Amino acid sequence: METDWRRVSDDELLRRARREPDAFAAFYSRHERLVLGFFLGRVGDAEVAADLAAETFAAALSAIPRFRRRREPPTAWLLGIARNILAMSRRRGRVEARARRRLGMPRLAITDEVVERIEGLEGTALELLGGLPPGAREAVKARVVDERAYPEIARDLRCSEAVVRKRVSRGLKAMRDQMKEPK
Amino acid sequence: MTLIPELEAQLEDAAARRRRRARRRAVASLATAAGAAVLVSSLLLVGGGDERGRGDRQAAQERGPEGALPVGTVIPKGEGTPPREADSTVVATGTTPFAGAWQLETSRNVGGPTPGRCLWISVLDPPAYEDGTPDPSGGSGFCGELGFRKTPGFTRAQKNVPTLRKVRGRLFLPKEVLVYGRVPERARRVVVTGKGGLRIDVEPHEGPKGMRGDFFVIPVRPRLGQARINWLDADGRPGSRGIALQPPVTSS
Repeated sequence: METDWRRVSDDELLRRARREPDAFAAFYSRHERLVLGFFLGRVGDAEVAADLAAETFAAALSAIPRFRRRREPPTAWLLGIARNILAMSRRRGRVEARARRRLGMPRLAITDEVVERIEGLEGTALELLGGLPPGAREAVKARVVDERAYPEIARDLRCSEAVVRKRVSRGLKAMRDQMKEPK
Repeated sequence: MTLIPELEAQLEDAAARRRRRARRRAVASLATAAGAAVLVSSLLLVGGGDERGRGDRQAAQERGPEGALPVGTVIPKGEGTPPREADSTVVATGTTPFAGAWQLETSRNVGGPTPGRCLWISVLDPPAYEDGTPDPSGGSGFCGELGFRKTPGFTRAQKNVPTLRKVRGRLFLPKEVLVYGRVPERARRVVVTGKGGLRIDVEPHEGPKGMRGDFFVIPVRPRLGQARINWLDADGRPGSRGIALQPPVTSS
């Protein structure tokens, strides 16, 4: 019987992706917009954002055996990889393709149609961020947009690290749920 | 529908290929356990000198740092093996020819006599001694200021792989020494130099965003004679007076 991946949690998708390639495709499909939106907001170019997203998901696929559910949700883990890919690419002055080469993935063909679809994401993430409850909005902005450390955010928001992590997790989930369908 | 269906298909194919490779590796491991690799490893130990063969090195590089956490991961206090004394951030990972995968972490120094931060290197799957005895020490580290007194922003420490040991008067030297530390962010290269024109030149690893400084891990052989390490700026100029390496790298 075919699995309905929509009912499977991110943790479970990553666990099953070690044996079931479909599970990783579902993980990609679920978080594609979040990662593309993350890159688009930083580089402002749909083709570069697509390349960076491809490298991020390839690196995530390679890193699955090392993924352990700790105190961060899988989305934060994925965005952590995205941040590293972006930093590495900026440092080298070109989009990294190491993870894709290692996995034998061919170069991605970005058509005008794809570019148009990605450009349609511009502003979506910020709009969605604005729609979150104040606590979650501040936490997600501080962690994901400003890339600050949890202890620092906790100090500023005068709450515990655990509360910040929970707010980030819930905020990202809410944004992802809203991003499932194109606006 | 996804925005880039081609990427979704590529990732699914790649995931399927990884699964097939994992199966093949499992079969190969069984063959190894049956004894096929015993002869090969003996030959490497006798004839291979201080480094594994070129093929091994290439294979290790292709595999990447297996078991290492992504850079930027925070290992919470009390978690990990051994349990971390404070939240510990992974700042660099990589693979060396003999030691295999390594992971470099930094954390706040708690309870120690020196203030500042700690830098810790873990060899994730430490290789055994020549006689097959496992090396119990997978890690090494130090705490203190971000730089040594005479080389601000620049530190150096060493991890022997396997750990130095003496059995019935016989000294077992490490096969590889991991020279590791921190350099200022303006460092573009980290260079080990020694007698006979020895020069090992690497690019430092960029740490996670918000972390001061960059990091390096350089594998060297023991008994190189006098050797020093320094960092170079963008123009190739030495960034400090340099730091001498320690035995067993410098013993002859």
